[in-house]
Amino acid sequence: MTGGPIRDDAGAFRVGSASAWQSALLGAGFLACAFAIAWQQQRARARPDGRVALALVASLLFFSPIVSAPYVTWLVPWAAIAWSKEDDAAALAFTFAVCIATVVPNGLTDSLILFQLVTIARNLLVGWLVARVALGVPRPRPEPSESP
Amino acid sequence: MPSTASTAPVATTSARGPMASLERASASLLWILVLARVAIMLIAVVSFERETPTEPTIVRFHELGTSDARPWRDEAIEFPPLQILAIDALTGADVAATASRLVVVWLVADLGAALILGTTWGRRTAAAYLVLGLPLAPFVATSLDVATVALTVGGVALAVRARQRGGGVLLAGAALARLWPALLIVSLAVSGRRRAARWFAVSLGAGVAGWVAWGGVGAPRQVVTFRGATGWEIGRTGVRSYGL
Repeated sequence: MTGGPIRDDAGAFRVGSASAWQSALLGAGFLACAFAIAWQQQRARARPDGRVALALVASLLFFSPIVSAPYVTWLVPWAAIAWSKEDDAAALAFTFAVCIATVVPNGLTDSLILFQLVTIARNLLVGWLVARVALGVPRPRPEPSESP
Repeated sequence: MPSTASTAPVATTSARGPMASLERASASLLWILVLARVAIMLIAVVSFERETPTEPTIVRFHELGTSDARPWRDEAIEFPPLQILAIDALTGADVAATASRLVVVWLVADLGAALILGTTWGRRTAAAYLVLGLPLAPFVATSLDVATVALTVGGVALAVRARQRGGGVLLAGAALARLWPALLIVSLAVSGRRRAARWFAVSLGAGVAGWVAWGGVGAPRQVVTFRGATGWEIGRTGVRSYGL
C-alpha cells in the first residue's frame, strides 16, 4: 500500500514516503484532536494528569508516522493515574493492550499477516484512547479540589 | 463528612485484616516489579560484555557521542539539545560501554518515575506504572525515552502539587529532551495552572533560543522531521538486539 522496500531511515525501519498533503492532513488531525481533548477537559473540569493527559499523548502517537516501543512508554504514567485517580480501568486495560501489541510483532516477523494485524490493532487501540476523551466518551470525572 | 474511623470503629477494626493483607501483597508486587527491572538491567549489561550490541539506536548514540562535528550545523541530527547533552555524557569507550550506561540510566529513570508517581499519586499508581511498563522494558532499556518520562512526570507532579514554577521549568527541560512533554502544558493550563504555563513558555523560549544560537535556525526542523525522513515506520524499531 505504501510502496517500496523496507529501509533504515533516520533510525527506524520505514516504507514508502509521506507526501506533503499527507503530512499536512496528519498535522491537522492531531491539532483538531488536541483541541477537542482540551475542550472536553474544560467542559468537564477534568483533572489534567489522568485520561486527559493520556489522550493528548496518544493523539500525538496516533497521527505520527512512527510508533515504536520507546514512544509507547510515554503513555504509561498517565494511564496509571487515570486508573488510580479516575477509576478508569479501560484506560489501564487499553494501554496495557497497546504495550503488548507493540512488543508482540517482534516475534511475528516471519508472518506478515499476523504482524500487520497486530500492528493495525495496536494503532486502533491508540486511536480509541484518543476518541473516548475527544468525543467525550466517557465524560472525565471532575478534578478533586484537594492536593493528592 | 466524618471519617469511617470516627463513626464505625468496629467496622474499621474488622477491615484491618484484609486491608493489611492487601497492603502486604501490594508491597510484595512492587518489590517483584523492581527486581524484574534490576534483572533486566543485569542481563543486558552482561550480554553487552559478551557481544557488541548492533541495535541502531545504540550505534547512533555512540556515533553522535564520539563525533567531533558540531550538532545540527555540521551534520543533521534528529535529537533535541538535552538529549544530545545526555548522549555526550553517557558515551563510553566503545558501543558496549555506551549501551551499559544507557541501561543504568533507564533503570534509575524508571524507578525514579515510579517513586514520583508513588509519592504524588499513591502506591497504586506506582504499581500500575511498573506493571504496564514491564513488557516494554527489554525493548526500551537502551533508549532515553524513559528518562524523559521521569522528567515529565516530575514536572507534572510539581505543577499539581502547587509548585507551578518548578513544574513549568522541569516540563520545559523535558520538552528540550523530547518534544512530546510540551503537550502536557496544555492540560495543565486548561486546569488553571497558568503560572506553570508561563514558566514553561519562558524556560522553553530561552532553551530554544540557546539551541538555535548553537545549532542554527534549521536545528528544530531537523528534530521535528527526523532529519527529513518521510517514510512510514513499520513498528519494528523495538527489535531486540540482546538476548532477552
